[in-house]
This record gives sequence, C-alpha cells and structure tokens, in this order.
Amino acid sequence: MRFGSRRIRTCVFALNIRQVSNDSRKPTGSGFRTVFRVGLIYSGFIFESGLKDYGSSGRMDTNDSLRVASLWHSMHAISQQLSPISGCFGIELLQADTFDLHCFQSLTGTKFFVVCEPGTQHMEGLLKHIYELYTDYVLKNPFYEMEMPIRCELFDINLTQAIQKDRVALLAR
Amino acid sequence: MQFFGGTEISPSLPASTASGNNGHMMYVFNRNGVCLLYREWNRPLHTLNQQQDHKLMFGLLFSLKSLTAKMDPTTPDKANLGVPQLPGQGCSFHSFRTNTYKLTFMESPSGIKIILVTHPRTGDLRESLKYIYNLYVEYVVKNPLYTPGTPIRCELFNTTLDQYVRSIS
Repeated sequence: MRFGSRRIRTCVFALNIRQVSNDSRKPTGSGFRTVFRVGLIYSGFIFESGLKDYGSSGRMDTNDSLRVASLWHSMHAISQQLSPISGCFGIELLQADTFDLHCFQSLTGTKFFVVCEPGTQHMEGLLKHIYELYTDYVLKNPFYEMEMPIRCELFDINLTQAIQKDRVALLAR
Repeated sequence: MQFFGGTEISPSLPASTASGNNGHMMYVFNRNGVCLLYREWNRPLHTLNQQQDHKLMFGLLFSLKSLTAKMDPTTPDKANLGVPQLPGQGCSFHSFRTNTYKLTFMESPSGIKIILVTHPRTGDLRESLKYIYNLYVEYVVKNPLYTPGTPIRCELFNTTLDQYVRSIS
C-alpha cells in the first residue's frame, strides 16, 4: 500500500452541530451539541492535541479518537487506490445514517474534518475557515513546534467562535 | 434496517431524470466477503489486479462501517472499534464521495452488500440500489440453478442490470 512518500500530517477536527427542528431525538441543554476534536497524525505516530467536548452522547476517550483518526487516514488513502479515474484526492464527504462527515485536505496533506447533522450545508466553507485559523494561530505561532499537539489558546478561542458563528447561522435558517 | 422484499420486482421504478453513462463499476459481496459479482462499465484506471481490488474494496467498507459505528454521535454506548457487527447493527453509511467518484453502499439483512460506483455528481442512489437488490432477488436468488455463495453467472441478470445502470443519472 502506498501512502505517499512525503511526510503526512493530519489534523483532525470533528464537530457535531445538531439542529433542534425536525429531530425526534431529545436535544440536551441549549438544544445544540457540539463535539470538537483535534488530532494529529504524523508518519504513523499519532499525537493527541486536545479534546473538546460540548456534550455529544458517548464521548470518545483519547485512545478511541486516536484510533478513529488513524483509521480515517488509511481509509482516505485506500479510497484513492480504488478510484476508477486517475487524479483522486480521497474522500470529501461520507454520509452515514446519523451524521455527515466532511473532510478537507490541504495541499501539504493536513486533513481537517467536521462531523455534522445529515444535510448540513456550507461545511466546506467552515473547514476552509478552520484551515485559515490553523495557519494563522498555530503555524505562525513561534512557540509552536511542528508535529506537536496544538496548545494555542488563541486558536482554541477563535475556533470556538467560528463554530458558535456557524451555530448562529444555523439558528437563523 | 428495513426489509426490501415484495412480490413485484419493485413497486415503483426509481425515476431517472436524464440519460447518462454515469456508472463506473458495481460489486456484490456476500456476508463472508466473497465477491459474487463484479461489473465494470467505464474504468480507465486499474491500480491492482482484480482479486486484490475486491479485497481492498471489502476491507474499505468493513473499516468505514466500524468507523461510522464508533463515531456515531447519537448513541451513548458503542462497541469497541473493529468489533464485527451484524448487518443492521450500529450506525452504517450509505455513500461517500471523492472528487472523482461517488460510492453508494447498501447492505441487506442477510449480509449481501451492493456497491455502485458512479460519477461524483449523481444524486441519492439509495432507491436505485434497492431496485438492484430486487433484481438480484428476482433473477439470481429465484434461479433454481444458482448455488448461494458462488459467483453470479446469470445472463438475464447481467443484461437487465446493464440496462438499468445505463439509465441512472
């Protein structure tokens, strides 16, 4: 299996935005639940870089999120192998029974993904915005060492804000 | 998981909006991972030999299913990652999309997996796969000469399938 010879670094974000409308399942608290996870995969070694959970049911522990992140990384690579046409860059959208998973891969191989309610729109925009935040607040941070877990307060704050803004936009719809 | 049975092939043929040649290939696997049928209509790129390709596809589906079962944000208690799950158990997936293709997946209660690979711009094909499953029931399962678990060699099934997939847009 060829996973590419270049150094692959994967950054994983998972957030789950739940709509209150037409949802028979009980919404908890504010009516929204947001899960947010960040992980890094680097050449097969995985570093957890912070786990935020806004109350999804059955939160994953650290080991599980690492397993899921590495599994996603390999599935992404295998999907390129199975393409009937050349020029495939891996899975962009996975539609499961209870959620949608949007994935964005940057040119350097960093993967961002978001888990949301089925049929949620404009997730590509959110992912690109998160990528922007990542470059601005993490990569341009002189104290950040590459391939290390992200511990940047400003990044966390802005990320939470971006997600909040998305939730407000969701409420408005 | 619902039961797709019925006396007719399908109560209503899913409407096709435009004529097109969008189908790339199709796989049918049984619950043991044996590839019962492989059809390809438009596949310029072959990266592996056929047997390896089938194994890789089955592995991809298996792993994606365990991934979605583990990531499911709606159920509080989930099995460990990688534990084999019965058809209909846990959160499954029905399609994924890349920039070059879209894969739609259906699993019947008996563990028959139908995989259709189409152009990325095709719409929701869940109904189409149910229709293909009904074709399988009518032309393959009801064929007295067919032994379950062996590769499908039914001329009538293949021609009907080709005809139907060509109509999918």
